[in-house]
Amino acid sequence: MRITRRGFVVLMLLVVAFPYAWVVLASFKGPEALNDPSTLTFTPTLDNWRGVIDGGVLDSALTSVIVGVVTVAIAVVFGTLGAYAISRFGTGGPGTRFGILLSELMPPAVLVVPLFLVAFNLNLRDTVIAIIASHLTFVLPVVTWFMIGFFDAVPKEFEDQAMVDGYGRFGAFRRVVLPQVLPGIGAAAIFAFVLSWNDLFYALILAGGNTATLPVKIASYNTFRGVELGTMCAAILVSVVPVLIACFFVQRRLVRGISGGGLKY
Amino acid sequence: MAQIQLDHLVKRYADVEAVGGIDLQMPDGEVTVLVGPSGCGKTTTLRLVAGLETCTSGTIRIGDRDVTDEEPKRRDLAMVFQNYALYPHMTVRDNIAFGLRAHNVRGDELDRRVRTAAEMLSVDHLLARKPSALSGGQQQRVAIGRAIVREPAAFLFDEPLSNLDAKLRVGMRTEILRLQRELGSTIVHVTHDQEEAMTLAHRVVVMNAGVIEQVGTPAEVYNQPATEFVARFIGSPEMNVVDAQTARDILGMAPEIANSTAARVGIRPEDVQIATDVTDGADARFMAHVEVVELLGANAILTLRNRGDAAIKALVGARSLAAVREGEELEFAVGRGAVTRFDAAGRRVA
Repeated sequence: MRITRRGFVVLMLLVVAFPYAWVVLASFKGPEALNDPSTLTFTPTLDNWRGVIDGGVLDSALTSVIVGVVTVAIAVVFGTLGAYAISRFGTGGPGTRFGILLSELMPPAVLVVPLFLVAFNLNLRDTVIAIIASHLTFVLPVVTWFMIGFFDAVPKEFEDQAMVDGYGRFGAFRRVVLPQVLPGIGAAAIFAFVLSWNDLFYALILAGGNTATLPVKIASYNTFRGVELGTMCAAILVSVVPVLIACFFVQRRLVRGISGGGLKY
Repeated sequence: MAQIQLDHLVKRYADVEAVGGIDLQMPDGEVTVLVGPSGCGKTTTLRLVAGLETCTSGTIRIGDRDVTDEEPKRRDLAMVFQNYALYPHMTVRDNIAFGLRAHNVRGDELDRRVRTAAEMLSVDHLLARKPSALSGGQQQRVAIGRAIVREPAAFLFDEPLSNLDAKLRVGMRTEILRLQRELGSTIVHVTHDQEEAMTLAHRVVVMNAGVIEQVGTPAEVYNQPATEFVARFIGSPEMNVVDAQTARDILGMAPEIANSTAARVGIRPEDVQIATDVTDGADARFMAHVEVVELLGANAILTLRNRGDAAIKALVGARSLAAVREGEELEFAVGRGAVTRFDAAGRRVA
């Protein structure tokens, strides 16, 4: 029983880890080795990684970081305040709580044309502002939804207590509620960052030249001459590793966020 | 310290009237206990006083100030909640100092007051800890410490003892009384536990369905309940209330006692005794089967059943139990002058 279960875990691990292993290996393969997937031995080369560094992948990564950080900062500020209002006062009626996620169901293709037209008319095409605006359309609802759950978990008595003790509504929010949802904000921020970091569609259409984000850059290795697989794999690793690390933190913080609180019932 | 006065206070939610126009004076330096079953409006009343709910109509005065439209922070009150609401991210010291900081108390003054409050409640050795590292009783003490350190006009206690185990609860009850005597505080205390109400209160306010049934000293509400509701709610075990007809026919009560103005009569369990123990005359004598004997220690609760359906509870001294066996029939008597009469609307009549 135990052995079959362990065997299953090992099998799943292989299934999950194999693509990563393949990408890591491919990033060190020369063109010949890449063209013959059956070869098990090859002479490792750093050409692909040189291509990544010389080819502007790091610039794109920086663009992605800027887009991600600004998007997350805006989404966290407005999402947290919005979520507090929805959690405490039922702002927008009972439908808002879940209705806010409906925007996630909307295909990006519906929004991208209007967004493109707006960006074009405002002369914001090919700028990070256009990308950030588009990313907020799916990041802000997720952050809000995420934070509603964290605010729900903070008992109302904390604010009541703080208000009787001499603070107004905002003072109570800032001093008593906010510190308790910090792990939640952290988790939401990392999650939101990953969403923004991974987006290809909006970034590709709204900006593509000077402000190519990392996914756009990776996609650009699919050229009319064929796929530059080695360099692409190296660039993919640049993109994936930060996300893996971030996910590790989301996991830990999520658990902390859910188990927090020193209240007795 | 200040008195609190409520005039025609009403709180209406969409379709329910939680508080239905109450007038109440809570005197300076006294413990007023609002008691009643859940949903009777006692907690809502307390939250209205605190300013955490806005009243639909009526006025609230603290001392000589009308605070009806004031924010909670301007009412100069301190509150202790049922779940203590200790801020989990702060140490005990910061929890206690929280309200003082909000009122711009700083430095030595702050330290001194926090220390004094902590010493009064014997939590001074816990100041550096977080609430999660405290026991229930310690959390309770810190919550009370956080309230007294403010030296407010009045304290509002919202069932602060109900999360404690029975033994600790009795201890904290005494502790609250000791602090009250020491500080001369005005306390408004909400509870559903009638025993807690009786022991803590200078004044008991019995509430039911959003209105006040009776205001009085513990002895008054116990001995002269205004209504059948109060009579049944206060006292444990509950007062026996039977139809006047049943009282005459089955308990053998004299017609002049279960008289025509009375629809129902009430008898405290401690007034129902084994007949041989009642020497100086009785208002009623009847035969009944002893169904169950519950020994409490010094006393025992007997559940009696006679010809009718009415189950009567009797509270007898343990010494009288020698003659009692479950399932046997015995004669019981109701002591003279022990009957309370209620009219059809449930009001006490002479």
